[in-house]
Amino acid sequence: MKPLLLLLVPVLLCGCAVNYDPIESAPHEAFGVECEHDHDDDDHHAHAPGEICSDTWWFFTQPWAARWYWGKLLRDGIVLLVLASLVTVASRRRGK
Amino acid sequence: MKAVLIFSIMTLRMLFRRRTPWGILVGVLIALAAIAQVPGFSVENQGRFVLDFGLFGIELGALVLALGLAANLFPRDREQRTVMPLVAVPLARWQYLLGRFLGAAMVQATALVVSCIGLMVILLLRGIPVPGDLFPATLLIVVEGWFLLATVFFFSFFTSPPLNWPLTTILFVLSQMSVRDFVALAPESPGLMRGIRMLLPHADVFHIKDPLAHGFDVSPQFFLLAVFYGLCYTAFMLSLALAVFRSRDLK
Amino acid sequence: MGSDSPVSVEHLSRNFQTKAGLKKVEAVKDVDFTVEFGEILGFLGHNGAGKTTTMKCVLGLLRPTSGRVRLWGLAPGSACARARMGYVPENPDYDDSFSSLELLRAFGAMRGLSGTDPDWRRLLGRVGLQGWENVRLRQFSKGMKQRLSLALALQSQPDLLVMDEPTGGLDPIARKEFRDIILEENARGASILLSSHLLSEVESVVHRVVILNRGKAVRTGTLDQLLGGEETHRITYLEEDNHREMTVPSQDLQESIDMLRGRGFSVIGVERSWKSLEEVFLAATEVRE
Repeated sequence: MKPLLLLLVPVLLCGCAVNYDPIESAPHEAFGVECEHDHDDDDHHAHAPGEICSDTWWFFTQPWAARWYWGKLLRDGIVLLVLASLVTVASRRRGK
Repeated sequence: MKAVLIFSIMTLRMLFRRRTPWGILVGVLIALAAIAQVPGFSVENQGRFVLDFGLFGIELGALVLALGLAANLFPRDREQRTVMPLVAVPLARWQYLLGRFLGAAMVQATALVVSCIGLMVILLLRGIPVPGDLFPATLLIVVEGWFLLATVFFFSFFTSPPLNWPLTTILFVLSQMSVRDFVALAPESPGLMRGIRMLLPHADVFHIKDPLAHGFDVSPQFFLLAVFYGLCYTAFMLSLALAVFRSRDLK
Repeated sequence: MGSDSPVSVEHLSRNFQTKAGLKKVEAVKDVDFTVEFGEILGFLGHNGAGKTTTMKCVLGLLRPTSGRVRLWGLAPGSACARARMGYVPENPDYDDSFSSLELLRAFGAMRGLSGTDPDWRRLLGRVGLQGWENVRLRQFSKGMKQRLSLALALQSQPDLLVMDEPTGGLDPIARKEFRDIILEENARGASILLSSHLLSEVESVVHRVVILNRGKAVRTGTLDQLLGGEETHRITYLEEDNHREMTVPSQDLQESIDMLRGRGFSVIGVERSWKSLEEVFLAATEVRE
């Protein structure tokens, strides 16, 4: 039983592997378009609120904004709960 | 569970009487006040700066609190042999671990909420509007702090406190990195680096200081998901800690 | 050996690795014993003989390298076994920010006991800590902490008391009080596993004894079995103005007296001698070249 449980751990962890980074799993439109800027003397760029372009995509691909990623967060949480249960059961000390 | 709650209250009382959490809290509040004194910004930009770095300071405070509260808990119990009479009779090992964790988590959460109130006071004193999501943002930092606390407990069952500090800090730093940035640390072994990164949590889930500082609303759905994810990862770390503790002989 | 005995230890061995991992230390080797219902078993041995290691295996704090330990047929450390036990550790220590009454209250609550403050005060009085209920443990001496650990062990009126050197460092009056409490608990029906190297004390309370030497059980038996046996006499004689004594089996008494006189020694006294537990212990644990 224990070896089987321990084998399940890496298998389940791998279940979290696919597209688990919001940037990796972002749809194409999440990166916006190449934007043109007026450069001032300080090379400081100003963007309209919510403007997604090549300079601001990093902001809108963080988890709080990456709606495409939320399902994977839920999946990862459930996998972690299952793993926690398996590890707890497998580690129960049994008297000889 | 009643035994766990009682033991957690014992732990809470014990930790409240120590100077460590209060010293860390005072340090965090001083750092927040110092951040607010940094000159050279317009009012609007200063608000963003104070919020951004203030929440980052509270997040660092969560890490230091986790280490200060928990790195020495089990090693001290083992050294002074106070763990023997506890684990021999009234408590099972899982009750001991969960009780210690819950007690430390309550102290940590209290200190972080006080830090948040401190940040709020600083914002008000500087005439900066307090964003409505400040307390939810602090809640996410509390959940991240609990994950770090569970990690410190895990390390404490097989390392010494001087080794626990750098190990937990390294894990904290690495879990902030994106996959791309992490793989870039060793580009010649992308598969291995991806595998390692897979095992580490995604701490960026807990960060909403950017939208807060820039006045963006954060969806309540995301808050719930982030809290759920954080608590699940905390449970996983605690299960690993329990597995190590159960395998240890108490000499 | 009954598997439902309060304590059943079968072929217990426990090894430790040295820090470098190069050498194995056999702290306990193939030890067998039981503690029967209503029995006080004395567990004797030199420092480092393996008493505390064996106790910790019984409590589930250490896992045996080989062999088996059962408490009422249950695994050590199981919830049911722990619920029926009390433990008095060697050199006990507790969080010193608590008072003794607070600690009793907390331990009682953790164990699901229905006792109230008056019950815990009475218990503290029984172990000689009346008046110290609200004093923080940081002000307690070592002996007071031992009294407190006894109170914590007795709190649940356990069926089994495991006591690891409970009176080490106590004054004679305190030791007598501990002995009286041990006898009272046994009269109530508790079984007791008592480890000590204070032989005279153990002799006055135990029913049976296991003597450990270098991790092995070298003698086991009731006090009658260990102290009885062969009848002996003690001969006192003079050797060049020095008083000497010699203990011989009673059947060899006359022959021994004749031998001494044959060598020119004056025999000045002959008396029946009674074995003490100390003699049995020393004989059982003497180093053989």
